[in-house]
Amino acid sequence: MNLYVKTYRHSTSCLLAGGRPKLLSRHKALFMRISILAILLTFSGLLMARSGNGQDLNKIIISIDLKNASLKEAIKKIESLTQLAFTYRTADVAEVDHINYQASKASVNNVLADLLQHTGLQYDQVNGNIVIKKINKQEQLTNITIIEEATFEGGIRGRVIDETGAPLANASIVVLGTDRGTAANKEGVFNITGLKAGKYKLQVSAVNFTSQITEITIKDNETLDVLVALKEGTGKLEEVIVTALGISRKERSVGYSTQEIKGDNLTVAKEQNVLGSLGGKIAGVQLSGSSGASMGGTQKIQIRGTNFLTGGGEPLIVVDNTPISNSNFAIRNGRDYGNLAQDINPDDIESINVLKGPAASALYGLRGQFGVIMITTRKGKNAQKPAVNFSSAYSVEKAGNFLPLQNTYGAGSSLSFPTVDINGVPTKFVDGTWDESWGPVMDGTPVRHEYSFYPGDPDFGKETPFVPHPNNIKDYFETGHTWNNSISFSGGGQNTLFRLSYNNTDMKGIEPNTWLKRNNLSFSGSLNVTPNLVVSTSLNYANNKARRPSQGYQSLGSRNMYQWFQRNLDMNKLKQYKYADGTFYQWNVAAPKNGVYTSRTSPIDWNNPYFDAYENPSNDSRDRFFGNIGVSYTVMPGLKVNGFVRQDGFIQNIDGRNAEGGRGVPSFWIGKYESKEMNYEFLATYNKEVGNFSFGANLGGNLMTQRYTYLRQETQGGFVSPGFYDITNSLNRPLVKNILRRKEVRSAYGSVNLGYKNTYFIDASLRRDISSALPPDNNAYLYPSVSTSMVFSELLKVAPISYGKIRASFAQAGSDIDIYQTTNSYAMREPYGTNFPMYVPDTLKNPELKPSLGTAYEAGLDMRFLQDRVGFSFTWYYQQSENAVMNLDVSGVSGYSKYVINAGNIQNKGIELTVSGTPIRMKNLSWTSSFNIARNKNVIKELYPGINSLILDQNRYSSVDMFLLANVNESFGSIVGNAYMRDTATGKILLDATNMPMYVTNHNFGTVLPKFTGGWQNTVTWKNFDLSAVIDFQKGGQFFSWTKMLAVKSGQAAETAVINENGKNIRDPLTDGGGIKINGISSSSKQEVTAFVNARTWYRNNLGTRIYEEWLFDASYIRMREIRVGYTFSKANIAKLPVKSLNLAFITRNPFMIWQKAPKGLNPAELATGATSFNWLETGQLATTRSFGVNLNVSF
Amino acid sequence: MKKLLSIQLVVALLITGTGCTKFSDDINVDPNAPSKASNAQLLTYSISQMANVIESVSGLLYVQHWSEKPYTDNSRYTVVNFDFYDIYTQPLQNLQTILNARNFDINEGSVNNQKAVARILKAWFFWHMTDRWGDIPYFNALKGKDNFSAGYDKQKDIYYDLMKELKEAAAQIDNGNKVVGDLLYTDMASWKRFANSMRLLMALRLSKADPAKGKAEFLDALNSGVFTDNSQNAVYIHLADAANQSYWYYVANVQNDR
Repeated sequence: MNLYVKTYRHSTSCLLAGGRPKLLSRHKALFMRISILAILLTFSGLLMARSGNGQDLNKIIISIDLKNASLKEAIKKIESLTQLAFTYRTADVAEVDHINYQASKASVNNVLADLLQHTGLQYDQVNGNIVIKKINKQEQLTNITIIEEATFEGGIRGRVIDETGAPLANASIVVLGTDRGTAANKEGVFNITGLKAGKYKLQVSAVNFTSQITEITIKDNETLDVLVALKEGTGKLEEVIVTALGISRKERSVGYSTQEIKGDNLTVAKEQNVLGSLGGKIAGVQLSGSSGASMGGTQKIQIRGTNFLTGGGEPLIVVDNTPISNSNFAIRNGRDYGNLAQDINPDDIESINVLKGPAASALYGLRGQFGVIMITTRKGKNAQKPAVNFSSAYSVEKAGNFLPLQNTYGAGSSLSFPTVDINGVPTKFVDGTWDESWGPVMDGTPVRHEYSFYPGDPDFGKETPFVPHPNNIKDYFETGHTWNNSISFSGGGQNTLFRLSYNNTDMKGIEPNTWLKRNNLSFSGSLNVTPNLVVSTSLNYANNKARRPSQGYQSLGSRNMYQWFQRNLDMNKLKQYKYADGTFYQWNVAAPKNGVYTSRTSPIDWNNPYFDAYENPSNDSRDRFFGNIGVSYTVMPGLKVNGFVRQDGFIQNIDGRNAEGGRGVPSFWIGKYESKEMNYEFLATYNKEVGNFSFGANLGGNLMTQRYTYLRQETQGGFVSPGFYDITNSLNRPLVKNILRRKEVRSAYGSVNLGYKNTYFIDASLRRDISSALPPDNNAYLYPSVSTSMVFSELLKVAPISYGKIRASFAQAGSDIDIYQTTNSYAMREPYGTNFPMYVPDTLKNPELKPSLGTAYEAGLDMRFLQDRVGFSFTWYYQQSENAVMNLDVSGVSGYSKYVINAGNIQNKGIELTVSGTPIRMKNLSWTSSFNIARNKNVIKELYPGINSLILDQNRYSSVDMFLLANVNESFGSIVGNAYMRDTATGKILLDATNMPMYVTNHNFGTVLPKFTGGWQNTVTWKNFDLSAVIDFQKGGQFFSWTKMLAVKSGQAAETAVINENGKNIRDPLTDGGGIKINGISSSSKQEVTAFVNARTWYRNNLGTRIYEEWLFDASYIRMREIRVGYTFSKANIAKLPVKSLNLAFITRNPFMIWQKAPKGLNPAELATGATSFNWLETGQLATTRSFGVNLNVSF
Repeated sequence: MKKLLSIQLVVALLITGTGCTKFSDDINVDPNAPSKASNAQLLTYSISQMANVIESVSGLLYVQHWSEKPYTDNSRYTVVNFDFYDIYTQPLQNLQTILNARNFDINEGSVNNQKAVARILKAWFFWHMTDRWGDIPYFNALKGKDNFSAGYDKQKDIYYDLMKELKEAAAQIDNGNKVVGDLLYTDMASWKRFANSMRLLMALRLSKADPAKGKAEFLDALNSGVFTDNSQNAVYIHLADAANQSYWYYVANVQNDR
């Protein structure tokens, strides 16, 4: 004790001696008193500044044996034996050498005193570091400038150094909880004034060093001396993550797998649907999207494979802990309106944390079975200067990945030209009734095209050459563009936080007459009404208006061009679809009598695509509001009570029409949707640290109400007055659908967590949910969870390991049943005169339903090495989902064809691995890489007693069926359909008497689910340039493609007109050497057969109609999702501008597919269509859209 | 302040978690579908389904009496399996619901009359099915979740029971109110004749297979009163609007009008 004081007294007197005489002479006495007080304060402050581990050198006992060691080695030895860290100038300690010293069970205090005796060195303890310095060399302390003012509030002066004692210039020092902060100067010296007396936390941080938080006490008019030594590290203090219900936890104490993505990582390439930007970045989380042509269309998110028996099971999405709807109003064949999460502005997001399974989401009870996506929005910061950020991006979109088509043969069914009688003359013509291209060679023969029969057409009455238009489908697509502008204002003071942001997106789609306009406005703010009472709010408004293209198989839209079209059609002619005389140019019509159409023509199956684009648009618009208002009150230190009111609501209108002049009866329909979900939440949190233990408890309750109404009206039978698209214009009684859906859930939950020595942690939670959708006599369920973690790196301090945690958990979470499943009702039919028939629906409801239950076991390992430079995270999980609610097919003989029951037991197990690191870290060049991969295996253990197979989905085309089944003891989603009949010995295809392939029905092709999914993200920075790229991949999985099948069936696909081994086209007659060479086994003679067969019979009547095996493709792919190349202007360049930073980047989304197993023209990564659960069937994907643009980011 | 908070805590928990499992009565009753249906409405629907059963064109296409364009699938025997489930789940389930009802509304007809008409129509549907498919589930059918695996019964047993049903149903008709929602007839005597005429035809069908039973039932039905005039036929009349039009009219005039 004496030693310390003596030393300081020396220093003070030296200070006084070498200081400023003027001041001293005037206020000598005062300064003396102040300095002594300062000394004592410093000392006491330093004592308090020690970390909670209590490093009293007298109490730390070591045994040490040194032989001919240098002082530096001795110090290293002491470090390895204790948790102490030493700081010293290498030069100072290098002078001491040849130490022979032995001590057994001596205090560090004494050991140091011994070692440093007669060395001219002394040691001081500063914040858990031992600083060794030369006695009487005061240069370190004399550089501190004495605070000038005579009277002042308390202050801090100090110095920031690194482990070698070198100063850390520009280190940042912040007094937490106040607006005082500063940066250290070139010598690492800083001082902060104007602090009122009290306890504070001083946070010192520097780039590439681990921040430190020190507790200090300021007394009035006193200056505290502080010396802070920082260790090299990643700058993360104790990483804190947001877990279920918005409860913040230290990352090390969390016993289950979560993964966080920072907001900046989501706006790399300005994706239009925020969920899409998660793709490839999180292990076990797969995003399968639809084409960008839908502009914000479906992005389906799946965590850990398919867990739900009937395939649904999307995770819950919460924004600042407000649950928001992610409904999807699209269907497989129709417009893809996208899922509602597209209303979130990615620029507002601070981070997204994915809770991957019941272990993490048990606290969400009935909503947590399939994981939770927790989105935290940006808030204002307590900073001296408010921040203004502006971002502008402009990109162009083009269609890509076109299916290769043949351009030799045109419309028709045979190689000879059909003729039609025009004024008695048989004339060659293009037969519009054939929506296939098995016709004659397009050799320029003059023929009467369809358009020549329309009086309004410029080529009316003329014969024009029958020639190919190889780019006709490509020419349909236009160049789209996207303007994305956003601005945000954020700031805050001692008691307030404020952030306001606005985003405007204006898109023109790649299909004609399609567009999207979106506006997002968000505000978040908080006010400390009193030091213990905080009021906060987050308000978000989104407005969407769009006109989107139609996907899938139907007469509306562009997809049918690959499926049923004529290669001779001229897209430029089709574009002039409207004639001056009010008729429309349709190509799929029969030739008229006498060579002229005298009235509007009605197509057989397909409208002119431009007619559909301009005359049959569908508009959707939505106003969305979600947000929360909350109050937080600190009852006493450690105990906080929060109350929140949360809302998510939207009003949406969608309309569509079928215009006169096209296929079908003219009609108009309009749908109005209104939805509101309210959550009233209460949560009390308590945290306390006692000695080595840390204890936390949370207790809360939630009341949720949901209300949804849907009103849709559609005209029937045509219009009274042509061209007036309004429900009142319906010829017959309009079809009306009027739906109301309501639900209420009451919940109570609590959790307890315990930590020991910041190393061992255990966590338990319980939630009780009472749902109105469940039978009234049995509507409450409990969901428990237990998890533990151990940060073993704290126990064994092995050099390369900087962090290591092992974790395990068990949890149960559920999924509520749909409403209205427990009571039966009747159904109505259209009236018969004045009678109103009603019938008993075919589905029998069940008053004994239970919610489905997910039980999960999880274990994992997180490690980081070399001061967090590289690390990995590994998780193994096993999850069982039981009691899924399904409509069981029962024998219709009972009077019902379906019975709603709980059934099924499906098991998922898998592994997830994320490896990330910084392979290159140099002054001007750094490369950070993160790779994730996940494998999920599932098996259906049980369906229902007596039932071994469940039809999940079915597809029928031209009377041929294909099924998606859930079979017991198989992996989920088996595709069953027609396959080639094969010879069992050789595996070759069996041929019938006409050499056509034979087929079997109900062949099981295996599961549609992938084997592996994952992604790889790389960021390289070189000087002022930054480059980042994201790749996602999938191995395995399969899908069935209508587009490919029909492109071949209709004679459009390139392979239907190739040259055969005889040098002739396969379509040439067999007698001329044409035909396609096939090889197989004759089913009658069992001999191998190699022969040439008629190409059209082979492709159209057999493969394209009956052999579905040909059109089943492997869905493996490796895709480049987004690339960004940016340049940050240096401070010198922008010094003259009023901006703080400026970054210009080139961005691209979906630039190319690196590899895919499926043929060109199909996109296995964009199979998601609307609300259908699995991606197994493609009935008409929209064109792959590639986007390229520039992005300017400015902050003021 | 602390006391107030702890009270609020307890109250909040009580409301949300521990006690209140009761919601308002109608919150989980589907408001989008009627929860009550009168027997008359169920009857009307069943009668409307009679047209579906006899107007099916598959048979005509199979034997090439009819052909169609542009899709010729049915004429080329692409559909190979025809199942009867829809007949059970739709008209028959409706009729069974009438027979199982516990409450009858006298304004819709006397109890006997309502039940009798349901039995007669039920017999008509089953007769059609057994003539078409032979052995079908009959005795254990239409029992809902009590029997999801009804077995097939012999056609002979079905025919016998149907004839018994028709006889009893005709006898059950009383002088009370006539049934409402009846699209076929306007008085109950017509139903008696309809039932007996059905029995007569069924008996004729047995003439080679079971001559004794056939003869006995034929004479019994004839003496109980059968159709004597075409005006007494059971005729389902289609209407002009799209929902109630004849399928044949649709196929001939609407679908192929291109």
